[in-house]
Amino acid sequence: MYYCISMTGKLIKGIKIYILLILTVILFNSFNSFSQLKNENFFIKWGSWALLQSIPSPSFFEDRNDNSSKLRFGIEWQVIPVSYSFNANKYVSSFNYFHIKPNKRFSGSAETFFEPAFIPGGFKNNNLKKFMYKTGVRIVFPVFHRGEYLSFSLGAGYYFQKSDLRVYDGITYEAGIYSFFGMMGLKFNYNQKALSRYNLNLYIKYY
Amino acid sequence: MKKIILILFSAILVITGLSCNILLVALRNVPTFFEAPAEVKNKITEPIKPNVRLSALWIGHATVLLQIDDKVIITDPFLSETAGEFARRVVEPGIDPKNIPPCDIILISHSHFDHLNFLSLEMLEEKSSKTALVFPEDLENYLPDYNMNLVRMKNDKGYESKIIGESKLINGVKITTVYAQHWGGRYGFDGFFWGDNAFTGYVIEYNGLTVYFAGDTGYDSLKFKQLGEMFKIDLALIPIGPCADCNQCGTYNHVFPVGAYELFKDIKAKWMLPIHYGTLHFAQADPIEPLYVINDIIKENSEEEKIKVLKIGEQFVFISK
Repeated sequence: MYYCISMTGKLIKGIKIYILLILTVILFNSFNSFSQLKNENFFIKWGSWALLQSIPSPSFFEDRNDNSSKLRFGIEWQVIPVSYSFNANKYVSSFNYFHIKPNKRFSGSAETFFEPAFIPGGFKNNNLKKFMYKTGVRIVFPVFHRGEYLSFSLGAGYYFQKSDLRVYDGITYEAGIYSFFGMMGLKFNYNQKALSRYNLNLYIKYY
Repeated sequence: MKKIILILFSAILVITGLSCNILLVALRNVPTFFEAPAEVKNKITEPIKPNVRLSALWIGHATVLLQIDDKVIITDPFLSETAGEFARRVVEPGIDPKNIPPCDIILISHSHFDHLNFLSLEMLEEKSSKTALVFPEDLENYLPDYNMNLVRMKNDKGYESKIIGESKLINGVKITTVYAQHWGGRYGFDGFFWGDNAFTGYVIEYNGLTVYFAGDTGYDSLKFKQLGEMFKIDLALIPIGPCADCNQCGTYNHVFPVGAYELFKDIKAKWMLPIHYGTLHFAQADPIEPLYVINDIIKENSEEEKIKVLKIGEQFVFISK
């Protein structure tokens, strides 16, 4: 019984954080000014965007101890708080926040990322908790069609993961390859000093 | 709490399902994706001629190379093999890109993949930095930077019923953005639900000649009649596809051959060049079907002199010096 109440509490907390994040995004993006009429419905736009952001990327996390190493399935969300586009034209800002047009990211950009992850089945070979996050900076390089057909990224940052006994945190390195207008990709992380060193992420993100 | 999660999950499923149009286009293109585009024989190598006042070379889809006296203008350049990664050309471009001369103006009508092609703009960028890349407002959000003179123009979306967005003199040519009935966006939701609406038609005026480029548009009799009153159009580039049932007038966003012919009559142009067919597979449409219907219309109405149906790669001189 206690377990159920605890999980519900966490879920409510998670939803609250999510709503707060969406409101922050809307606030940041409300500074964009357009000089002409737009056939835009505020609630449809931001409501659908918020729902799309909640679609997680399927991921695989290494679960190791001294004797064995296995992969565990998990889910990860992609959040890009700030992106600087190297290829923005003279009419638009190079800086974008959260809600970023794919062509601006994948035609060449530097960006910060925040990626919370959840491993529903938990780790079996060690006592790591089900939740972890990574945050850092990555650079996206276009390959074909200004990155819309193919692009890749290199990045580094900080990861945080807890076990029952201690905190595992440190540097994470990542490399990614993206296609289908940057909406799908494959991303690999190496987390230094962690019990879950290797993470493979089937990247999904729309805007 | 379970109900909230269920509602959220259902909402995600619904909006994901609504983006199935992209998947439909992708699936429709699976068979053609593995076939090489049909070859265009006897491609023109020197499209610009000194004795020509007005000519048009249909490169395929909405891409037309126009010569108006000494000015070279290209519309919605699509020279790459695919549009939007999965839609592969069924016929190769009607001119070798290396034979396209430096253009004075590149007109982009809207931000969809078959009209705004990044690789094609790269090909044209290499030819001259003096080229003006003209596009409607909002499209700047979808446009990477190019070593060209980028010119953004206001456009009428139909909400204000102005018909005309604005006019600018660009490289000596008067360009006016005019009414079009379409939708913008590039990646699905942005056009369908988020109100991104970068789309326009253009009127090009130079040395007493007027060319209308419709871009992609649906049919609105009143507005196109008004357009016909405002301009004395010589040549009209009007889309006739894609159409699933080509005997219909069209949809809100596209004119089919019947609607295109009505549009042509409304704007009272001297000549019409049908475009936007025969190059790509769309969701439910045969790329060639619009051609059969427009040919029937030409025959029924004896419009052989006015409606010039070109093959991909064919050039027609409308006025010589």
